[in-house]
Amino acid sequence: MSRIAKMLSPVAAVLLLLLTAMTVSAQRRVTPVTPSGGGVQNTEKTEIDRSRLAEKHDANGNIILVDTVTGKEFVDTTAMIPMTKMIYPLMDAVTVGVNIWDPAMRLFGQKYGLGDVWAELSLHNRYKPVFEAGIGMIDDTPSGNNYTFKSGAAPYFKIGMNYNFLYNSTPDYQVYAGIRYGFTSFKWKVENVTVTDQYWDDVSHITIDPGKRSSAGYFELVAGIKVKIGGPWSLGWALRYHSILHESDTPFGKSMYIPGYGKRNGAITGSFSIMYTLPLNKPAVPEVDISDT
Amino acid sequence: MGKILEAVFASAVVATAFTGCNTTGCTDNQNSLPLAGFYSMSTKTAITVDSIGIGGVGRDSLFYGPDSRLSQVYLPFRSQQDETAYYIRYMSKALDYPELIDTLRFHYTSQPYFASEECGAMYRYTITRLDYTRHLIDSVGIVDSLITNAELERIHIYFRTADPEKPGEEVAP
Repeated sequence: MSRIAKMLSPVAAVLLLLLTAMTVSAQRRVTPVTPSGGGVQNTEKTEIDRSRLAEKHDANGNIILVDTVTGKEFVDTTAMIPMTKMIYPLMDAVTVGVNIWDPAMRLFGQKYGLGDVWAELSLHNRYKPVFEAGIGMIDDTPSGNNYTFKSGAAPYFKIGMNYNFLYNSTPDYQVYAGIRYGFTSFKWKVENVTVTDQYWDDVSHITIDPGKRSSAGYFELVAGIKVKIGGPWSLGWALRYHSILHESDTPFGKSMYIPGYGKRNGAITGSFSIMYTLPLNKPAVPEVDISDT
Repeated sequence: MGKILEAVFASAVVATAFTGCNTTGCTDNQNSLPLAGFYSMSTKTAITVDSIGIGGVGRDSLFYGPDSRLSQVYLPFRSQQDETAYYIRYMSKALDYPELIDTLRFHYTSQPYFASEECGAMYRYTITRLDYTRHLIDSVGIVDSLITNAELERIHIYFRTADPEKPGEEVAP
């Protein structure tokens, strides 16, 4: 008997192996055939008694429905807040730029402004805190008027934030909107003023000099684009709507020019920058397929 | 470099188009001119006065007139003086007598002032005192003593006018 068993045991082992292999093979096989209508279908639905549901929010703000009897939780998928993925790291890059708008406009007859430099920190290529510093001045004698308006070189500073709408695209091209707060302190005077009283035949020549420094604060709404021109170098254009928030007043009137803002009668100005971007993170190294040769 | 120059040029053209829309021109006066209105003392309403001439005391020529029909007049101050005087001569036949000429003398301080890029620089005046005769003028009111380049009536001159229901009671200039 034991001899027969000894003879059958290899056969049984082979059969067992075959059966196991067939079972595994059957589990992997996928049948692309739609079950026929005559088949048994599970028509039983999971009924939810909505009167038992309590509404809660999870840490991500999603609505969680909790069955107060069974304790089961359901995620309200229709009310789920889609999570926005950030492709770029928090500390993405630093960009420094030179705004040559005013020097360029001077070629076209503008009588004010010098230029500014700025720096921007890119967070996730999406939020971009910006700091700008520049120098402004004016020496203008408007045609057909009775004065020369002067303000020596004075500094101005702006701080704000840009929002890049193409934050998950390549940083080489950006479309952004931003906001700035600007502040400046400066001196101004009006020279060669001629006041004529025609009826009285009186003519007087005066200089208006407030003496003390004036200050002004203003905000800007910015909309612009950035385009890579090669390597780390880019160009950027922006239109800026601005308005004065506060300024010092004098008995002699208000300055017609504010450094960094321009002439007070203009609501829209612009900027044009040449910029250099310094990445703060090395680009991801492509994976190398290591295989035995 | 060519790209940069093209971009600068394009930006400048766009900017010029935008900034070119900024200048609105001077919507006020380019000088601080006191504007006086004529009123009836009896009705307290604005009136138009016929046949008058207005001139500066010390000047030979008239500033308005002769025989003008006026309801408002500018009375410009002398920027190098601290007072300016004007006379009003009534030139209708019944009133054209030297003794009926009225005189207004304004005393003021002046302050150099930069109004705006478009309106320019000028003096602003603050009226400190007003003297006037009362031949046909009943009274003069100063609405605001600060005279700027804004086109606002700061002075009201009230004339004694005839009441239509009581003819002959008052003088009608």
